Amino acid sequence: MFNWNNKSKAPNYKDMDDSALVQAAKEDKEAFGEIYERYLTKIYNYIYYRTGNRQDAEDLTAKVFYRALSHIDRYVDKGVPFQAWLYRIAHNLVANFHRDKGRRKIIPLDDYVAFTLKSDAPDRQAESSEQQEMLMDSIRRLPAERQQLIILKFIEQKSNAEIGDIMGRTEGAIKSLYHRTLLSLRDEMQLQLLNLQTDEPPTRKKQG
Amino acid sequence: MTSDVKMQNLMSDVTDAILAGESADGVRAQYGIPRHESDELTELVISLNKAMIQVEPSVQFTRRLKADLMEQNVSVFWRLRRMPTRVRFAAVAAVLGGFALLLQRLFIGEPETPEENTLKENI
Repeated sequence: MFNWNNKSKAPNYKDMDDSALVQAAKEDKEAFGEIYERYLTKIYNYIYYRTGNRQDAEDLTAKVFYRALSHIDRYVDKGVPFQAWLYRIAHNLVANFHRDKGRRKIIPLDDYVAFTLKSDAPDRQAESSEQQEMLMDSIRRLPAERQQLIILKFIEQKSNAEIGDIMGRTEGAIKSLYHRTLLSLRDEMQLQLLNLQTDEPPTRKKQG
Repeated sequence: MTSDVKMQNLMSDVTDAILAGESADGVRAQYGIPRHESDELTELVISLNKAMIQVEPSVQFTRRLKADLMEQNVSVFWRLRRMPTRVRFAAVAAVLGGFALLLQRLFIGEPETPEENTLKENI
């Protein structure tokens, strides 16, 4: 029978691995609550860096978890990390968001600086705000999968193998994609600097 | 010029070192690649490491969303699928029976009560 509110007999979900937890979440909402605790910040960060805005990040994060809750009974473990499924939901919702709104929002400078100041990592202080804004802008101009790679590497600090598991690629392919991403970012930054110097609106190269 | 694969490996290892809070110089020395070939990208990795900081969702949002998710009603079909087979058959039979009664009332009309029959006879 489906266990709705039987908290006293609930197993200790915190110690479960993802695979067992997902199976439990198909029967018990408390297990889904543990999935939520485990992945909320990761999904929120992914969306935040893709949208550049706290409000949109909250709205889309909520949608990701509502969708996950309503579809988890159909989730089939194919040996891919469970978080890949959550990231795919998030990726689709962000893609729809950008398509519907027809926009690529930029993190407002004050907002971004406020976040970096509030960060609990004081040793990683911001360099110049302008440069950071330019860098964030350049990241959001990258194709979606390259943005995902950068977020997984620098925010999640995942290895190439782990990123490969999540993105469905080999470790070698991730290394190659990462190198190309760095080259694209460097070119985009140089282009923006050049445009700043000539005071012209930025033109963008098409990236594959 | 350094091969692509060597540069890919170098930048991957340089990034790992920077993420671990170490200097990239040791890694770069191991590869024997001229510094100027990797200077720009190494600087970029350092900037990314400084700029990409984990942000925390607000406590209010975190609590509210969890509460909403925990109270969320799941669909009737979801519940039905988790019922024992006997109960599922009984539920389906009850629904079908209800529909049959409704259809009967719609197309045949309600069965007449003895009082109604007596009334008709008197008229």
